[in-house]
Amino acid sequence: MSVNGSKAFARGLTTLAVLVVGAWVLGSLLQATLPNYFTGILTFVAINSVLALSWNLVSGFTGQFSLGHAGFMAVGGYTSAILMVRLKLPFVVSFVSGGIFAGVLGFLVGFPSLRLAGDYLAIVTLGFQYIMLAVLNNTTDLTGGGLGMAGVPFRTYLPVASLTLVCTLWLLSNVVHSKQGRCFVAVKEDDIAAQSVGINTTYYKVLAFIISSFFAGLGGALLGHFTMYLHPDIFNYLKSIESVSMVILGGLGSLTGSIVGAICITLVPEVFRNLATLASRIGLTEAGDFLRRGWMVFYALLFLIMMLARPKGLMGGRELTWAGLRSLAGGFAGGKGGRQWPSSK
Amino acid sequence: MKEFTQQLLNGLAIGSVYALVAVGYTLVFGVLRFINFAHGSVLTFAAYVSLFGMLALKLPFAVAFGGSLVVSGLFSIMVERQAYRPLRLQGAPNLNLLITSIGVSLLVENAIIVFYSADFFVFPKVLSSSTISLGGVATIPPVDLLLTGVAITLMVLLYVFVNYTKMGVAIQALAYDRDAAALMGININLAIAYTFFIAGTMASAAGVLIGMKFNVNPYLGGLFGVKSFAAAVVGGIGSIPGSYLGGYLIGILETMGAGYVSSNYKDAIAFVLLVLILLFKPSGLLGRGLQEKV
Amino acid sequence: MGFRGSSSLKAAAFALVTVMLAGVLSGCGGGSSEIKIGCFYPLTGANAAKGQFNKNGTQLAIDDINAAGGLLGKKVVPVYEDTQSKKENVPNVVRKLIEQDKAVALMGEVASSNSIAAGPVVKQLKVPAIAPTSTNPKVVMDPEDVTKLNPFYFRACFIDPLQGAVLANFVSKNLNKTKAALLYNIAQDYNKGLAQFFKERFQKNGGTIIAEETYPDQTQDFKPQLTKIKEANPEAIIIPNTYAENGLILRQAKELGINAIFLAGDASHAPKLIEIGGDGAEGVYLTTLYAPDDPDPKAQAFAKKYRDKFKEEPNSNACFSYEAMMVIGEAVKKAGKAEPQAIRDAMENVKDIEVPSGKFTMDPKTHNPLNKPVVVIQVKGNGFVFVTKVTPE
Repeated sequence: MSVNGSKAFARGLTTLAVLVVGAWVLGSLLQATLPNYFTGILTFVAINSVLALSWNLVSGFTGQFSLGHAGFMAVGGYTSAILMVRLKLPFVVSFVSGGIFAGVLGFLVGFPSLRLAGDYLAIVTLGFQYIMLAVLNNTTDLTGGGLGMAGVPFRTYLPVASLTLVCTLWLLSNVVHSKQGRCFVAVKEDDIAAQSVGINTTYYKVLAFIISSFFAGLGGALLGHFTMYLHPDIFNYLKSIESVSMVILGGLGSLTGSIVGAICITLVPEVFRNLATLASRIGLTEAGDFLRRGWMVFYALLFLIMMLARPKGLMGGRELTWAGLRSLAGGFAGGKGGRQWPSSK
Repeated sequence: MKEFTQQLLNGLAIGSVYALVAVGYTLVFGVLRFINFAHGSVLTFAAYVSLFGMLALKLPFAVAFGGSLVVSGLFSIMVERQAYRPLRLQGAPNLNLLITSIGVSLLVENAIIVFYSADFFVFPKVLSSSTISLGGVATIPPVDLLLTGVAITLMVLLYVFVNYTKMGVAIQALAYDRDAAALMGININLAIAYTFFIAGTMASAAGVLIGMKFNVNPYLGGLFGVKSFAAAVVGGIGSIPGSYLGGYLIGILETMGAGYVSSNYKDAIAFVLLVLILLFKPSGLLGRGLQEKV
Repeated sequence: MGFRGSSSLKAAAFALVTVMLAGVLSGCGGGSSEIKIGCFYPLTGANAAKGQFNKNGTQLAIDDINAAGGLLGKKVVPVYEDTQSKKENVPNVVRKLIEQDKAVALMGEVASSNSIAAGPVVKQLKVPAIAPTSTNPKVVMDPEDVTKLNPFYFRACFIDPLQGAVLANFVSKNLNKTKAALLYNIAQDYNKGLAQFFKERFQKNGGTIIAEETYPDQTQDFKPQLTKIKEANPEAIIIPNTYAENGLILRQAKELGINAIFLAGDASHAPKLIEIGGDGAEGVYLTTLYAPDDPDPKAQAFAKKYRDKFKEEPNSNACFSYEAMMVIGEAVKKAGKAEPQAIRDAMENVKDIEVPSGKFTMDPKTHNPLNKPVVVIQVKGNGFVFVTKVTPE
């Protein structure tokens, strides 16, 4: 992965091991002590973070706008569920296969469309998502179609979700800090200039797209094994937009920003839910009803204000690091006090 | 034959909607080079404005219709001023404009749900619901006639405007090269405002008429908007006749596909067509290649 | 921290966190003088119009229960939550109702698929839930093994196989038609399921399905499918879809000059069907759970009470939410304590309670009510008219 030699590689592996154990232990502890409602929210934060990270790689780092990530999530979710339920494969195998299958489809979609310039990818991926929905709705024997697929085994325990998140973060941070990562950014900053210095831009675009689809597939699989129920409806256009909002809020091109964004976007509806209940309880029924419905406007406003007032998101393309955690987080925070990506032209 | 004629008429009516909306995507893409995702929500907005005019203000249909075109055109300009212009002036990448437009569409949709209603609404009866029979071969409801008539009228008007007025030529110049157009003394902001107004009114006409043809709900612009964008790309984004061609092509193929192949894949047809066209002719059927300047 | 944001941004973040904590903490506590019932309905989104009826019906029942002294001397308090009719929202909403609001029993959802999504959570957290109007058989089935019952999910209405059979029998026997066509939403389990159940019984009755057309979600133009159906020339067309879709289908069928008899299921029982469908809706038959003009005095009494309070005609969502709430009330009384496990056990054995649509008895073997009648109604003029009531043996 990295070209810094075997010592750095070993150090990277140690970091990964520490992170994996840490995530597992912390996840298990929280799962054991917190009420289900909170572990549910935390699990959602982890799932959404994986999705946001995956979208960030292709759009934040490589500058290719994808609007069809829900389609890849669906592929991952359904593949994992079908392998586990129908073929009785173990969870880990099904789960990873979900990601791989999504990655393969990512290649098939990305290869032809990434040769096109500009925003065309957005519309092609959006089209892919609609085609995916049509396919899912019409393969009743395999996926349950519109009848939905019930009986997906519950596997997304908090430790599983947090472990996946940590691994995703570790892998992506290695990717973006590697030679490939710099090529991704070069493609984003100036496609033609990158070409002129010998970077095969299509190759890097497709590569970023495949990696991104793989993680979107993993995220979808996590979601399926969490809700225990899959339905084509879940993977609609708005699901793609959700990942977009998280990355925008956190900051395009900031990995930790994606997580910050995922935390905020996941918590907003829950906060409003609880405030609405609180309002109803103290007799403000009208206010409660308004809050119950009104959070969606707040969500859209947040999105717009963010875009206009702070287009680079909360993190502004930097990474969240803090000195005390430097050693633990060494694998993905090699820079000094945060890494500044080249700003856009 | 009978069935074929009927399906063709069905497809023409839907194609008119796609064409009207697609031309707005093309116009805005021409001058600003970004996919205006909020374009579909102008359509929804217009349907609600005319509904409000008729139900709450008791306006006659023609007034409510005309009024909603103007209001939605202005709304479209306002969106450009408030949401896109600040970014444009900062020189933000086109991606930011696209994302902002998604935010606008979310806001419009959700504001309607929260401040008005998430329910389905029906237009007051304006046209007779009895259909016109075409010699026993096919039937056509008056709303489809109106829809197709309005679409063709607006298309002709747009053609005249773009080719025979100063502002129309200015918009074309802008689409060709923004910087050169500015050097030629064209008021860029004014031309962009005109573009958004025209795109907005054309989508509004489609919005009000599909509101009448179907029903009015907050999600009205969603799928219509997305498919119309596909139509604009198929026809060749940046080309006005191309967007008409793309609109009618998708409308008719989708209807025929549903009628003769499989209705299960109806929504997918537009997108499969889109991907195929992009693969073999990336600039669309009538589009000229967009070259990126180094 | 690596963020260099302005002080106003930090202030905003601080305010957000404070508000969040206040919101989250609000869930804790709650007096023991109240019995909380969690209700998760689609209050915004595509099914909002239906969800409002469910909410009203539930509220009416709770008001009645409280007016009669509450349950076990305690006041019943509903906690309403909006699912936005999104399946992936349902698990968190249900967890919140159970753990934050300490609901001892749950009501919801409207759409079958959303109730199915709630199944795993209520089973895991062991709190009984009753679906007022979700008619798909899978709703009360175990989330991990669809051949077994979910011990914690119940239902207050009939199931689609019955509804499909009644529809089929009505077409074959009452209307004497043998050639039918189907047009339904392929992306929703309710529509697809009901279509299948109709088909099975109708073919058994000797009828033939001469055209079967489907469409995906968000479809508004049904003309391609209807044109095809028209060519097949069926005598009856079954449209087991929601009121909004069916309204458009009926209007467009009228425009195409289709003269067959249309029949739909309970999801179309809403005034909007007639509003959207216009002239096209005239004469359509619907199977439903409850009709306000059912001559039965209990049904009449409920309709009057509902009209007085909400100034609108009740529909089956309102009525069955009322009944479901009454079932919970009876179960709490039988259990003698407001504890989820005890309520669940009692709910299995609720027997012969008087509800607007007749007597209610829960079948412990199926978690469905026994002998729920299916009402057939027809659109006439500007409203629904009671046609007949079929009570299964």
